[in-house]
Amino acid sequence: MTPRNDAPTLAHCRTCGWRRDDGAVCARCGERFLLSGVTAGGEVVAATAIGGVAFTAVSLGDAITALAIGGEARPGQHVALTPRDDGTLALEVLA
Amino acid sequence: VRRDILVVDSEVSPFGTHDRHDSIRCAAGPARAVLDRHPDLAGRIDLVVVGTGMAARTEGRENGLAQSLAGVLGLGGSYGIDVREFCASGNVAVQVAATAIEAARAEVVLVLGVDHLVSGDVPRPLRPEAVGVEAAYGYSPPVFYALCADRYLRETGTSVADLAAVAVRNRRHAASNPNARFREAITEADVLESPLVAPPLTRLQCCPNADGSGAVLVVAADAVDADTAKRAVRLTGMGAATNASPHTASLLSFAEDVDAGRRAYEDAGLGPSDVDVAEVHDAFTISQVIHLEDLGLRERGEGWRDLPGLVVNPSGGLLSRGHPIGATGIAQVDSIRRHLCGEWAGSSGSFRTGLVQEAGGMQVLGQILSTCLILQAPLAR
Repeated sequence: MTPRNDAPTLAHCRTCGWRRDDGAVCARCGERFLLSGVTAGGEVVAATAIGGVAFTAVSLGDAITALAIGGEARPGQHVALTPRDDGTLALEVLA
Repeated sequence: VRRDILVVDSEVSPFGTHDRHDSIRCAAGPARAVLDRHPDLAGRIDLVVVGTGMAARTEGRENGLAQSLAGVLGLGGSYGIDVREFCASGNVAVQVAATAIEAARAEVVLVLGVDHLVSGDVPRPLRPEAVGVEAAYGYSPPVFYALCADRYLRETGTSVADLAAVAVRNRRHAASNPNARFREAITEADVLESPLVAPPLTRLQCCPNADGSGAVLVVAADAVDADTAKRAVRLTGMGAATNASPHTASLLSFAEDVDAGRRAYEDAGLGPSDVDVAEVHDAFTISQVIHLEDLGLRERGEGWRDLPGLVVNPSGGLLSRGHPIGATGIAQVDSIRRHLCGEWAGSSGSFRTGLVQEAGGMQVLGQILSTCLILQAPLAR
């Protein structure tokens, strides 16, 4: 899956979680959207966990790193990212 | 012509557990010690700057901490400024003082730093406001730095024992610091076998909380007598930077560190090779490693190494001192000042140039600040 960070079908602002569906800049906090469409993907570059919750850093290209919460993925694996309603990102390991 | 700025004196409280103290009483201790040693300057203080990260949360002091301290200390005629910039509050407070002096808005400034994180009413785990929506899931500074450590170890071939050695060295240094919360020696095995916080970081790779305070007396060189000026440490460079691109964190380098360091070096007309003693923000072992590399004090991939020519965190760092947020930057300045003056116990007295660096906020989520000061030895040491 090829990350598309500035596509026009953006779903959530990575910074504040505000949902929106047009343009490339969040109407609430002015940040650039990180995810395109409902799903984007990239390579896991680091992983850890605390309190039983997994946190995963996912490189989306262009030195952009997304933070996914939950799920299990190892560095080097490719994952799909899906925004939750609260603006955080869930991951799914791609085959 | 730029005004020369001096750090005349400093004092730090013991860092640990201060039962039933509050920020006012805690900060007043080091402040009075400094003022008592300089009665000639005590009556001339025209600005009090107080760095605190958590006083609003722990004591409900949303505003006016500096004004209250000026009153308690009897500094009539001065005015106060509170500085609240997360973990960098103390360093920013010093920069506010220096900026006021450079602008000729002040001549003699008392800079204080204080926080009560053990005896204060602090929710645990400690989470800065910047953590954002991820906080509900447990996202916190240890998680971010664990991700940094995981990637760093993987990409540089550094071992977990190499990273643990950073904590061991800092703790060894803390033996010479009577104000450090933890001073007993530890081994790499101690570090690696301590409880896991967020892999690969164990508890002894994460700085402990503490109550604590500190005071620094910053003056314009042209406002003090020649003898005082010659015996004071010189503040010759400062820089600060935020990261305007919160999503670009590589986890291996922090752009704000690089920018803050570059600005401070340019300000001082010096470079990394001139620095022979440094206090950097080791909130976690990996953060010390990355800060040193970003500041040009170690080659990429070698920030964990103990190499000759540069002493790092000689006071024990946050990992040993503890981290009463607003007081940390003041303790760093106090350490470098004493090392440059040959006042630190066991110090060789040969250091010429020191660096202080703090980081405040949270990377990735867009509220992160790095701050850097360059201090140089007194002319008449």
